[in-house]
Amino acid sequence: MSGAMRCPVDVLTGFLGAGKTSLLRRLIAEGALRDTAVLVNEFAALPVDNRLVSMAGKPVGLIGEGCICCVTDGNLRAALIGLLDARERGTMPAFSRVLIETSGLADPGAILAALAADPMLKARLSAGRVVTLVDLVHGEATFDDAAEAIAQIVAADAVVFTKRDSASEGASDRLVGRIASLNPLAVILPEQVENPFAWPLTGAGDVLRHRALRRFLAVPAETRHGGIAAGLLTAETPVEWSRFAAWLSLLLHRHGAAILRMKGEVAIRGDGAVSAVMVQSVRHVVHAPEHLARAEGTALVVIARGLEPAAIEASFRRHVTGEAGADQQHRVAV
Amino acid sequence: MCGLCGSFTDLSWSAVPTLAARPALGRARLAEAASRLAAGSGVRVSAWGQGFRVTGPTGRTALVADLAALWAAVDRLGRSSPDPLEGVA
Repeated sequence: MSGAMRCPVDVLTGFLGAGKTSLLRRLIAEGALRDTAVLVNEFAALPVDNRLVSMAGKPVGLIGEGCICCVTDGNLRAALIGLLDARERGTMPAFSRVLIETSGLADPGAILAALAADPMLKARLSAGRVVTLVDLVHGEATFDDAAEAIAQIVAADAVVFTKRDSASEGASDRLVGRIASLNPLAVILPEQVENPFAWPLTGAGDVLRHRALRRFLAVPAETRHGGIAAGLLTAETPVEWSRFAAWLSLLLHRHGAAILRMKGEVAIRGDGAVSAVMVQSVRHVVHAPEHLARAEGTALVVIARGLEPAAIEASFRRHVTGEAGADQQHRVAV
Repeated sequence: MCGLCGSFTDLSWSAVPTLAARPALGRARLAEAASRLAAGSGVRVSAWGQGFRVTGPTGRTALVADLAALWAAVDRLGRSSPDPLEGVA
């Protein structure tokens, strides 16, 4: 497959006032977004100059250090197609990544799922990283009131706290607990991180296994939040890929809208050897599995809304592993 | 719309990784596994060309390219819609 030609798409998200534009301004000023096309909702707050003024009728600007900035006008699909077409025609400076700054009320999981299913875009893009900013002053209240803020946490690969100077004592500890129980896959980055899109994250099974899963298992059960719950699928022995793929495809066909996210390793057996792949899905969409260097067992985190993790785990055992009996110690309600 | 086939790749995500050199065998195994899951609906699934053949209890048949289309065909042709969460704890 021609994966090298695909353009990774990163997403910067966070609720209204979380500090997305401030972070973008800093990254631009520091030159961290060289070779990146940035899609924003408005130019106003960014140091854009208008050396490059139009792309199929859409405003485009060049910002410091060669970063391209494009206003989405709410039509992200059209903006992305325009950017990629212009790059291929050579009518725009080359870029190697795309960074989308969402609005404060956006659901980044839904955005990525839509892009991944788009026939005009899916072959030209690859999934990058979702970084979610959480305001330590208003974060807890926002989680209580806004479903969008929860969706932004569920979709996150990394979380960065902002506004610590004005926050009450203990706010970050409480938020760490809530974030871990909503999305055990999200890594909370140091607040002074220079560039959260360059910070080393998963991609190797090691991080998932040692950091996210350990934290996940350590989180005590809490009150359910909006019907969102996370579960862990494990297998004693390597599984047969065809059984897993058929089961997962039917599960997502029937319940994809409720399975917000799935990520982890699957150890598979075949032809006398055991290998491992990293599997990721967002709602109905399964990303291309990545081969892992080492097979160390199956551990898949599932985040669902309105479905019992225990039922998914039992279904996995019945249809994929054939193992009897439940291992309830890995369950956590959030 | 089910976007299962819409992974960030031209290839189906479900291709059997350990059988990359023998895709026909991989499809046969996927068809066998799908048949087991669809058994209650009276539907049979077999590998066909680059995709799958889905045959309903009345003999009506659909040819599909991938697993997403396969389950849509099973829903259309079968007596019932299989649900992997049905009957589990």
